[in-house]
Amino acid sequence: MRVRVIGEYQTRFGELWNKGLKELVVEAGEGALKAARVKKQAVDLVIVSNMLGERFENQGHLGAMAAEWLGIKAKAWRVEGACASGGLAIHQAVMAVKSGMAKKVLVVGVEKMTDKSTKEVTEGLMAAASEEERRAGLTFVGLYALMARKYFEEFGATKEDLAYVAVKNHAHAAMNPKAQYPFTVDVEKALGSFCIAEPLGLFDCSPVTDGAAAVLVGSGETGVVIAASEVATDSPGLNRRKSLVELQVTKAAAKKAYEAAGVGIKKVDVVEVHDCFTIAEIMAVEDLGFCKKGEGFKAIKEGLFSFKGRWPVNLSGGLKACGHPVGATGVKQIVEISKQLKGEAGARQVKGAKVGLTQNIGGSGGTGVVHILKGGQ
Amino acid sequence: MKSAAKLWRERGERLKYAGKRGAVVSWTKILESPVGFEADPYIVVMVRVGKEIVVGQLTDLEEPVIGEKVVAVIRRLGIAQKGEVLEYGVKWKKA
Repeated sequence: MRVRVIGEYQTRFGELWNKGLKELVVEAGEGALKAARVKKQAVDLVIVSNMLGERFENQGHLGAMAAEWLGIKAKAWRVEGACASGGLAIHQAVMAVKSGMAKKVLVVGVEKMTDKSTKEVTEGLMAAASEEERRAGLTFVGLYALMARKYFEEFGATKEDLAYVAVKNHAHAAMNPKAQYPFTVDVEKALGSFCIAEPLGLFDCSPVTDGAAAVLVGSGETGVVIAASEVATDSPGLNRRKSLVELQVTKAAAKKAYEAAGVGIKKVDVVEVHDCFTIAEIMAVEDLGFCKKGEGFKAIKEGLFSFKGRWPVNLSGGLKACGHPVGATGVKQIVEISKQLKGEAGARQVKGAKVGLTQNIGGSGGTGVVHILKGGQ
Repeated sequence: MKSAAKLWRERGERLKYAGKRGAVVSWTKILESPVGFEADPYIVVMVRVGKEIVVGQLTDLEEPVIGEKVVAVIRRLGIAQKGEVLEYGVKWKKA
């Protein structure tokens, strides 16, 4: 059985002061159903992906809540896996369809973050870290800063090399009307931002974002095929990992995904990776096999992963410039790749794109989800 | 809210490395801290102790270098909010 994306939708990402969880869920869910031309009555499972609902909105029952908001009378629950919640929700939807448990699964990823102060968001996100890391006063920027410093030491990369990731992803976001920051920046501007956690500055970090994305998953004859959906886990604590300069979860999930989809990197046309911080994108392109370990920063600088490059990465603008509403991100990646494979990505469309890949990470690498999608089948 | 019972229960883990020596594997200076750690900036080090790697704050303000030797000392962790119990644990000091 082929499991497909039948319809997809993304709300605008950004500081959406006039929208709460309810408005975001309804806009995204109804948008995906409209794109799929499927009525609400046909949905037999709703899966909501969200990380911070309890902490920020005092809402810890989002499955049933979202189904009610959407007017869908079907089974419903929520999935959490930190920033990989969205990827896990898509994985569950694929399993539900493959097992015969459901025929049409509506996956809605959502996060409402901008009602809270930066300090509160910083603390809330640390729920995805280990107790030891929280006790040390670490932040997620700090965790990736620890990785960045080690990467600098091992491979000779610099802050300027990181800036090229931000420059590329902002250039892509400038072509995406739904991005939080749809404007270009140059290396000088990216390097000139203030420091958040040494050596990472503001332009190395994805922003605090409100937004939602939804995908209708099912079987049938039309729609983009989800050729592989793979999950890997590792220690949520950075200090308990084998390496500070690679994510084992990316390597493990990608290996299984390439095998399941029957494609190698040469066949991949478009990619969305989890660039929560610039260093994360550099490690991701290496761990996915697009270049050797320690060479990702050079390849990004040379344009290998730009719009006109061999493997365009993060044409949505990525987490850096499209935005990172945590629970929505993994779903948004599927929306973006589906649009590309259907030829509906507008100004950032890659001509003739047939195979796309997404990489979604939870925490600093405790969870990794890789999907491979195929169009025109 | 940190409860007294939770801090008592986890005391062994928190103080496990007291007096131990190690070497800095990586470090960062936090300039945007979370709730409970208002006294930024502060430095967090990742330290190799034997076969293990642990994380904790550095008591010194001077930036460390990778490979620098440090020793674990008992210090108050973070800032207690109103009504909360003070939390003590290990920080790292340049040896």
